[in-house]
Amino acid sequence: MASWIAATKAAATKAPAGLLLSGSAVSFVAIAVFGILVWLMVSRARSGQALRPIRRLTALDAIDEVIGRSTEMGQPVHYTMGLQGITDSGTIASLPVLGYVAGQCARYDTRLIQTSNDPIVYALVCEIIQQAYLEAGRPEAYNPDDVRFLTQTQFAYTAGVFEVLQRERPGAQVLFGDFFGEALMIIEAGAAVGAVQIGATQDVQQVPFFVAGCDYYLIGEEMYAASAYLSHDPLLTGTIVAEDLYKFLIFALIVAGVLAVNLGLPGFATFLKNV
Amino acid sequence: MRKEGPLIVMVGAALVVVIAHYITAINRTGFSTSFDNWVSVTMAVAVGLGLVGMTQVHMGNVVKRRAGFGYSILFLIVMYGFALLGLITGTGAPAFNWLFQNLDVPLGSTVFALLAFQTLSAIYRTFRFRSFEVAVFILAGVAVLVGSAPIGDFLIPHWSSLSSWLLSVPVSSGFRAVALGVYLGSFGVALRILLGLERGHLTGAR
Repeated sequence: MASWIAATKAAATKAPAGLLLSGSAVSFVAIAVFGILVWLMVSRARSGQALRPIRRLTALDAIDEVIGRSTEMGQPVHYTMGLQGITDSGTIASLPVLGYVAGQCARYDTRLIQTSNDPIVYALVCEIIQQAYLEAGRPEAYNPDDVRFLTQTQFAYTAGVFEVLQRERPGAQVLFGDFFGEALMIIEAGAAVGAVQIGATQDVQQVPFFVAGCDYYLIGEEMYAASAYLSHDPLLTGTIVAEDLYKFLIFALIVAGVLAVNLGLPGFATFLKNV
Repeated sequence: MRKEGPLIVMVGAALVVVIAHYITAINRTGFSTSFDNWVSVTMAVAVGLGLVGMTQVHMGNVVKRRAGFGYSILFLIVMYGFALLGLITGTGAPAFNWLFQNLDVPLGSTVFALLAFQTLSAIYRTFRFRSFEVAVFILAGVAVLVGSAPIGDFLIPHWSSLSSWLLSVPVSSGFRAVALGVYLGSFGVALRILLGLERGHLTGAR
């Protein structure tokens, strides 16, 4: 308790004066504009007004298909969400998808094997899968042994996934989260056992490997739209529409910057550069 | 309340951290720093729970003589042996470091070395002229590959310049476009959680 008070006091003395912290004004305005857009779109959705639908995402449409294939083949489905912890946005975006996959596996009576590399994510995953089986009306089908914490070490985790793929020979593999150097290794190991693979990552460096190796893939921001897409929830869809509007705004600023530089308006260009 | 309780705690904590990031008066209270420390404490507790969970699972394998229970015995010996060694000698001790450097590091490097073969295998599966997009993919890949090697400029003068242009203009702009979408997407996820719209991480389904 004493150390907590000391840490609190230390942080308080470091804080500078002024309403907004130094250097945070632009970021504050950016968040505020985005927040307003989200609020507007969510309000529209709440009032029942039609929103622009999310375009079709083949990789998400294929989830039912690959689970169905595994069911017909009598093989399990393997789900991995990469190497990051619960504070990572990719892991958070992956959890609703895991819930959906677990629910479908419960309905199809197909085994779902999930491997984690983070103890906190593992605890959460156990809850989510158990809940999904419960909501599907098949709580007895949940098998805790199929939800596995392997290790926190990158390549030991990879070796553990190899073992799962070789022994269990899943008919489908879903990779949804933040991956690093192990991504292509896991994808190739999945291909070697004949699994149909759906991949999604926000890591720009790994996207080419997902495109090259997976049968279906989501690129970058598409994975963040997954929960709205799968749930068909108008409120969540509203936030995706707000994201798109914000993207148009940024695109307009980029075009304005290009025009300012080429039309000889250095003042405006410098302002945008500083922003 | 099973769903609402965690949601209230999460939204409250997130609001404090976000506001403290911008507003000086809230930042001065030091709550945000305390929350950061609490995250570290929670992580440490989770590791302890993980230890208990792993012991339960593998002891169960040993007691019930399940298939491959020998591996569970080995696992328990290594896990507790390494933990005890660290506790007794300290994590900076030569014996502890020797075990890590001579077991964990080479094992990791061995698995990583497989990447070269798996990259080749992925290229073999992917690089087939199936469509126009794949053809562009292949041609760009070959252009960069040959341009990065000395033989590129030997075969066609200034090939390396073409390779550099491909990397610095089309590839770089594509990367930035994807990265921009990722930033906005993660921003959107954070906001959805903050507003309590996104609850998939609480129950698995909204």
